[in-house]
Amino acid sequence: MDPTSSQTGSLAALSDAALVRLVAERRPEALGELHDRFAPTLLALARRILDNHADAEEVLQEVFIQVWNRGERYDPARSSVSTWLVLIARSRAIDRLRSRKVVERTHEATAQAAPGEVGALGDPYTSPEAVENVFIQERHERVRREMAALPAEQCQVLEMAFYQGLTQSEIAAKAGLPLGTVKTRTLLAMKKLRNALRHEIRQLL
Amino acid sequence: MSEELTAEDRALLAALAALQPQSGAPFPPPPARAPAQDPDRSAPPGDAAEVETLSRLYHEVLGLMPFALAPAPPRPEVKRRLMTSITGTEAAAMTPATGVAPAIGSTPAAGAAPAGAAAPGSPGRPALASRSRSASVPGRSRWPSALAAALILALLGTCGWLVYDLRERRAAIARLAEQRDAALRHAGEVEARLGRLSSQVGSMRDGFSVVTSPAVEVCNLRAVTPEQADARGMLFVAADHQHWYMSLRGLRPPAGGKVYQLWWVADHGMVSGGTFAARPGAPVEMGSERMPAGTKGVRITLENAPGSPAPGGPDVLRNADTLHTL
Repeated sequence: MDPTSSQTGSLAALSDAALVRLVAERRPEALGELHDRFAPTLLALARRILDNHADAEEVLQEVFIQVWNRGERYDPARSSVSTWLVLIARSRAIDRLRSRKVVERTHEATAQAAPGEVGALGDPYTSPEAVENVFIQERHERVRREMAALPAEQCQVLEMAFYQGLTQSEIAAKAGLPLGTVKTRTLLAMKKLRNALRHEIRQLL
Repeated sequence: MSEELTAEDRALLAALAALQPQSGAPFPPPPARAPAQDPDRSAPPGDAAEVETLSRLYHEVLGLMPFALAPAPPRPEVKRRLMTSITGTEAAAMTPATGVAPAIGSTPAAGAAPAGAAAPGSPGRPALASRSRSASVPGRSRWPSALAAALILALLGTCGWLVYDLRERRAAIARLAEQRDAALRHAGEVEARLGRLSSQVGSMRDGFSVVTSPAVEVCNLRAVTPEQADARGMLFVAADHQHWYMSLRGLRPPAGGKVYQLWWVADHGMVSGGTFAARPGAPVEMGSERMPAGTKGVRITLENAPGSPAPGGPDVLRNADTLHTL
């Protein structure tokens, strides 16, 4: 039995930032609560980047151990906890992707998927209903809706930058587009998302 | 993209710069004031703060992107393994004297994993898992005591947490009780105020109905003494000769121990209509559903508090017109 399972109930009401502060004070149960909140999202992110469930779970483990070891480095002035975790997970997953020299293979696999199509890896643990935190569930639904509403070509360049770690020039070369077009599409997509997700961003800040 | 970039564009590019390949960097760089790709286009000082704020917003947009993916809850053993890993690390870090695992003594943040313990090709991998593996190799006879120590520490930690949690809950209950009491007090005050306002609204409505009733008679009241030269008033009497409404202005507040008293001048003598005070600058408004029969005039005098059975003090206001219809 998880020794902290009986304590997490009182932590559920705490904000993400408060949990990180407790983690910095070496409180394992706070890390457990953060894990409950964000592990499904971070695992999905790592799987999307790595296309491998076992590797993604390892990345997830690394992310939370890093949070445990460096929780005091979290700076709320720089980003929300959610974004902090997401960017740590993305960075680790992309590092792992590069280290395995499977970049090309993965890019080809994702390039075949329709832009905006996400979470189609068919894993038995994938279940939107399994996300317990209602706020995070709502966040998933809203972001999914807004991403789907982006024009396909804008979504494509944004996802190539985010999930494949490609530079604008690499995206241009890979997609056969002028660099200016890639930049314009990326900027347009980001501006639309910022406007569409302002409610979510306000909640995070 | 060659035209002048706006502050928003610069902020956006700065946020996107965080996504660019940075081998070995576990964290993305902080939002820059100008995009890394275009250092010549640094933000003017005037909008540097705006660029930084917008960059932060776009940073959050990027952080939201994975929420478009279907969430993938990890298997329960993933969390169990994590918790075991960190609690084991804590226990080992707190008991260096036991000699359980010398390699565990350093903090994981230092990244001091034993050589060869980390898997090839995973440079950023924390040393925790490898530490627990390496700890079991050199001293097989030590692991039971290490395990016991870890369990005891975990138990002590849990007990400590429970005590702390209990204390926190009690404090929270006390805080909530205080908040509840304060809310109840506030609700009582609001209710009382609401009652006063309702009463005022009722009075105003009554007065309004008298003033606007058909065939209402209006009688002006004029000051009698030079000291109250600014005082004046109007009396509205409804056609039924019962409902009335009076509005007085310019009355000075009465001196200490004094009150104003209203008198109806009726056929059979002076009838008191009650006493009242006046506040500086505030009108006095009153009304009733009763008026003595045969009233043909009205007076307001200054009497000793709490009032007089018959007018004895000086007149302050008096009707300028006779109420001939009463």
